[in-house]
Amino acid sequence: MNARALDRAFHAAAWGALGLVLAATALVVGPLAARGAPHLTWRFLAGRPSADLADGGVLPAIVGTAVCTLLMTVAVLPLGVGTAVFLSEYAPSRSRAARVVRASLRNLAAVPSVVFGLFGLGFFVLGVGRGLDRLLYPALGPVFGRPCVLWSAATLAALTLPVVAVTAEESLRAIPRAQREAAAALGATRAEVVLRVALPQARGGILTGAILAVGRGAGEVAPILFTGVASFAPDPPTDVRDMFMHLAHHVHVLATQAHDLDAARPALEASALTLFLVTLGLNVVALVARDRTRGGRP
Amino acid sequence: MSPRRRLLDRAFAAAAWLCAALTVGCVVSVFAFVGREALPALVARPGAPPPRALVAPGLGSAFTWQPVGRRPKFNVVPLAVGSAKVAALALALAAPVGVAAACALAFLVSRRARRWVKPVVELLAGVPSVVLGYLALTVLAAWVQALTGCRYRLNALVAAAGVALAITPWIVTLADEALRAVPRETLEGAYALGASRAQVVLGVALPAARPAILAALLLAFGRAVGETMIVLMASGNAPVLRPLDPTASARTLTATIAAELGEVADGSHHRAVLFLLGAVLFVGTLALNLAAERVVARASRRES
Amino acid sequence: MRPPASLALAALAACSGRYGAGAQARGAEAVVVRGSDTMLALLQRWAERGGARVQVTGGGSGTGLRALADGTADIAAASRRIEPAERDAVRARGRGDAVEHVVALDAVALYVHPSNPVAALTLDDARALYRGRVDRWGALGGPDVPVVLYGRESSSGTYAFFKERVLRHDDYAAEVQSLPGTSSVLQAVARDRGAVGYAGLGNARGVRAVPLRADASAAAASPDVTSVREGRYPLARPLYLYTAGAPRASAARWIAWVLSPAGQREAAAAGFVAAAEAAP
Repeated sequence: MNARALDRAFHAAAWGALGLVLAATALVVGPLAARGAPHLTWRFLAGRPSADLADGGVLPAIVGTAVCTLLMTVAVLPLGVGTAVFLSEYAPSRSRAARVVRASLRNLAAVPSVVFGLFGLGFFVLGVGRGLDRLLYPALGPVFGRPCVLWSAATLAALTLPVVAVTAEESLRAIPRAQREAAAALGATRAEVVLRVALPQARGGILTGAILAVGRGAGEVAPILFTGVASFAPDPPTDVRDMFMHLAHHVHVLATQAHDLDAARPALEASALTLFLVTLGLNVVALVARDRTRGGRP
Repeated sequence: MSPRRRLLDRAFAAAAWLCAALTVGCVVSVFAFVGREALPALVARPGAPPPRALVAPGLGSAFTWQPVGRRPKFNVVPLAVGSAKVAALALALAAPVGVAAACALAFLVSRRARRWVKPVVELLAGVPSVVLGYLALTVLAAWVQALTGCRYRLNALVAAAGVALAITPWIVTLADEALRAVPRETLEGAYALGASRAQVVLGVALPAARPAILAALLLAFGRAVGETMIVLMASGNAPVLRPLDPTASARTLTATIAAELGEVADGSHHRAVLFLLGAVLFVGTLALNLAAERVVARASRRES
Repeated sequence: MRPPASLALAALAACSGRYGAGAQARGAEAVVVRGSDTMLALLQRWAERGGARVQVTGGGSGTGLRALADGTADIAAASRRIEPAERDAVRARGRGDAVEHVVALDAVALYVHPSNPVAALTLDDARALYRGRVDRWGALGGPDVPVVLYGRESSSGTYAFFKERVLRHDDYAAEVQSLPGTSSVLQAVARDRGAVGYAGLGNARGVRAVPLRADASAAAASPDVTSVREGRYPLARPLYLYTAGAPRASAARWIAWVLSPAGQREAAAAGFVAAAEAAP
């Protein structure tokens, strides 16, 4: 094949493939937005679901998603940032400790989400939960030893730990050594260097990591399926031991168990759009924050 | 230095070490816990089928997964084949398109256009998998049936198409990074020798980026194997053993766990087998990740 | 903020007073109902109108009975009878034996695509279909279209009921597609010309219910409320709520409401048969 023909074929294939990917995006997002938007009314967003889920709103699902991801963030941020601080400030780069921790983060990132669901059910709900019950409520029926938003949040925290730790470490490493050395030269302890110099500057990256984690937590169904989500819980969770509704799970329930799919389709499409907008919004914010701290490298 | 500052320094260091230890503890406990719950399935117990029944064919060479009934059957071969089939099909669909699109993104798209093209690709990555599953169940299934006239509306191909949608943005992003990491001098040298754009990309850039791209494909395969919601909704979930037929239904390891975990009794054989499936998934994706790292490490060692 | 902060938060939330001995005595805790997907819409209706704070989750009859034995649900909703092994598991929890409440009547029907004119099927025909022995509908008096089998997941009470009554404990064919809920089965059948699926009664749209006869000599009966009430339909079944020993006050009140005329009216509105109206 002569050079000119090869060139033409290459251009065609490459542009064609890119066009295909962009078209696929348009074909997925377009109908999602177009069909869901008309039903995205205030009544839908702020209302409670009706019995057959087709009418009524998704407020409990939105609140449930928010509560779950908030709890997850409270759990994962300290742990993730602490691990990142360890990797970038305390452990020498090639040391065994650093390698073990990095390998752990990579392995954790590789675990499929459904295996986290298995782990969450067996370890948190039936293990830690039952243990807490024996300690605190020995004579009663299960209080902690059953699915609730606390355990779903814990399971999601394990799932998103790598994201937070890796982005935080990246942003800590991006801070020039000179700053740390200057602070040390002025007599600051290691802790003060980290707390007063490094962490404040790494705020952007940490925020990015948190937002990416929240985006992931809002979209995953498998980890929460057996650890706390309910198909119908019209009162939003006000206690960590409550079960909760979740937007992504709600989409799944509507798609597979709605009594009358034609009647439920508007609610389904609006829920899917809401979910997408939430995760999209979070990812966009994270992208912008990341670009700003990186200096705009596209 | 005041004793308070010293205490704070020490406490902070301890806290950092504690966090790192908890991270390691996290992955170790996932591994240990899932493994421990899976062990009973590998040991011969009275009243439960022998461990060899997990993979060996039953009567009449049947590999049957029928966990509920008078005589439950727990052969995992159809499930493993189902997972591999869907993931392989998804990769077959996504890899060529993804790598070619990455070539376009890295070499053909102008810097200005790149500013909006890349986010649009990442937009697809932001679509939650339940939504892709619903899309596969309704739209993709209809298209595939119209295109192939297949008998089963929900089948491995439909699920694979949905999973391909999920992993393509990953492949594009990672391959694009790999291609852009090829040193400019190498490419400019080739141009200086009179090579055309296609020759530079196909003959210089792609081979140079090959380890990283291969690693990306391995990671994408791991993600495809671990995908749960799309296959749960769109694959038909029938434990059929037809490895060479893309239009037959399939039942994956992940969908089986998600569908059956709720009803298993503590200490039952069924539960242990489900945890065993989880352990297999865990170890499998870990192995894929390790392979990806080794590929990259070997390549960078060769270069230095 | 380090890990201890998260623990502190949890401890604080634990003092909300909505859980624990006091709350249980006052009936302030929500009633958790878990189980049958067939009954999901009905349960949600009852949850909405029954006056108590009720949280409903599906997952199948098997899941609900499992949760009852674990103690993670107050009430198990099941579209099949509880098994002896499950009774033992509930008893082993130490809160009493499983108590059965029949709350409505349902029937399991075979649904086909509206374009499929097959007249009536015997239970043996249904058995042959789901054992994978029938390849095309022509063999049963339908059009010459390949058969596509849809069913439920193994956690479903309907799956278990069908396996027991129609398949007589034999295995389903491997080709039977397992879908997660009643409505997914019906949706799938509505889109597939050669499809057949089994599901409970109640607002089946876009599909055609096939009349069933117990054997070749019996009269075929359509699956509807009348034939179930009169005992003519061969696959009628009760729908159950199970509790472990005596239910808590709020749960007991809710069940009492479900069994009252008001609750049973809701069951009829949802397309089922009220429990008291059955022919013996």
